[in-house]
Amino acid sequence: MTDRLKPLTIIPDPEYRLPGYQSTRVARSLASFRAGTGFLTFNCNNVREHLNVQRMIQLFATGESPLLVGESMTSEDILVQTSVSHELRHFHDSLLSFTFFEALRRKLLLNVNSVELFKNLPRQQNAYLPAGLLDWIMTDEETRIQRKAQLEEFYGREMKIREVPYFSDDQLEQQVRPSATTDGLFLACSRGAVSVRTLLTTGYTDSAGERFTAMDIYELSAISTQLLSITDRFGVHTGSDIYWNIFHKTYYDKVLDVIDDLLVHDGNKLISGTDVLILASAMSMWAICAEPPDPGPELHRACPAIRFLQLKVKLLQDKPSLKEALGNADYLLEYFDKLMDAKPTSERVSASTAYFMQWTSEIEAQAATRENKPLSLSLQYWQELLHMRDELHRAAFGDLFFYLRGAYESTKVFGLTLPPIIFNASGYDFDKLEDCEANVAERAEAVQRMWRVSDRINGIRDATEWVHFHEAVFDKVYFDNEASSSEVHHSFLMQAVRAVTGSEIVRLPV
Amino acid sequence: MELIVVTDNRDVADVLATVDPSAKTKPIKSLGTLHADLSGASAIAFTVKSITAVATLAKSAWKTIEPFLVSKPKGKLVVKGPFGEIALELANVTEATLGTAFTQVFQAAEHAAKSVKPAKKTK
Repeated sequence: MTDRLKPLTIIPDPEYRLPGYQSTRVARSLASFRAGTGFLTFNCNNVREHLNVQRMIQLFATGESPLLVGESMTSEDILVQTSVSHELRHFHDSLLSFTFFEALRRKLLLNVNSVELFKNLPRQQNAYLPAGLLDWIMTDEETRIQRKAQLEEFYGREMKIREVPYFSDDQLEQQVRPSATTDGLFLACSRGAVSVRTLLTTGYTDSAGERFTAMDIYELSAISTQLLSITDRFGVHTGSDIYWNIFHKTYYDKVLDVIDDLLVHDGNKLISGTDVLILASAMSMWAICAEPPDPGPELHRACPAIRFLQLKVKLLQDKPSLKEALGNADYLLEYFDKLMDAKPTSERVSASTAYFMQWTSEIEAQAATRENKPLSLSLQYWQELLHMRDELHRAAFGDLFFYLRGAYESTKVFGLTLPPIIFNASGYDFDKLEDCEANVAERAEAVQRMWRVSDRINGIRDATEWVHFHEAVFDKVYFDNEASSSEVHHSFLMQAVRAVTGSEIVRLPV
Repeated sequence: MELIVVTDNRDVADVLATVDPSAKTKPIKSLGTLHADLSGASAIAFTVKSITAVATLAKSAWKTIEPFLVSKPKGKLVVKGPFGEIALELANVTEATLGTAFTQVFQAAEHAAKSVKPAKKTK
């Protein structure tokens, strides 16, 4: 595949200035990545933003996008375009990662099991289901009574809360197989939800009290490669302007600060310029690409934040060699592997793939023996993800220099399967459109439209729809995360939760 | 009860923190989000003592942020209450939409759903 790729244009002249470039302020979220599905969402509020995103997607799909760079580009145009690269890096990291991919696998399974659970759970008329259910399941009876009383006092009426079992930490951590009852299924689902949360939020607290989690490493990887691709495509001046005027002192800048103490040696600046970003990208990739932890339950051993910290501690003791290694980006991961006495990075990815393949075979065997539509649709999507993981593994490790620079998500990604992409158009004022007569579901669909650019993804349309819908429902139910992007979408999600669980949902006072 | 307003517009976040004495800035990570790219936003939590106080809080919030909305800034404003959350585009926020969002997140979903009427045909 790498033979087909076009060479990336890196603007070599540090004095180059993008003709007509206009520096504008951008202080809003342009896009998001959903850890439970791998889907990308882009918030497009007007035609110009739509075109910027569409042209990037065209580039990824076909390798050509002649109108991508025009005259008088603004920092906003560049950020909207590279937000596509940023989100795609999240997706690619999730594919290569052990923890992110494992979280995705467990989330898919959680959705399947939860559909079964809520089919069997006795319905209680007019009783509310607490959101997030996972926290409620772990709340003891005494606290539940207090919180319910607070809710009733606020609303001035009696409010029925749906009866769900309480599980202690011990019950949730034990590996004993749950009983084949509804309570047993509830326990299995709760354990699944706990493990998803653990996989994504495990981390460490630094000496200043700042918490650094797996999610921060994924953000570090995406922001460093996004800044690199801005610099490579639009020049050092544009990259520097965007960093100082848009990212400086934001959360994204803060995640980059984590490598600050590696950049200085004996009071002198050791590493600077784009080398800082390449170092951040390479360290994140090394931390993300873990092998399956052994023994299995010790998920924290594969946690990217902890692995990142371990690598940083070693690098702090080896700064002169680090500086030398940065001279050859192709060699960086190998240098980290040797320093950490670890299996080569690519082999670690292969080891995780073998673990996922093993699980897939077992589930395929189960799915073949019984009629279970949710399982079969989720399995279809999962099998596609496995294919994409394998595809990316070969491509990325075939050209590590460009992968570490974020270049795959700039100009070299074409030919790889793209995940489902959602256009969120809630910024458009639909009420002003004439002849718009639609029900809640139709209006919600108009606000958020899913694109399946790759044929392979288009071929599993039903599976992607099922996963999208149920992930949103159970993300709300267990974790109280709402994917709604507008009033109409909120209403649609609430209807969906009611349809699947049989209850209205309420967040109780903390 | 807690009402949380999340926004990715830093100017609006700064002024929201002055709306009411109960306003507290919350670390975005404390909201338990498991998704990437939301960490750039700010969250401001308000304590609401009764259901009738919700409308008053919405009015105060509107008065405070209105001057910042004249220029139609880009970004989102997400209102989170016991019955879910509603996202508004800052450029489209009016006193009415803000008031409705504050009220709806304190109402059961079935009420919120009923209020979403199809747009009327104008031709």
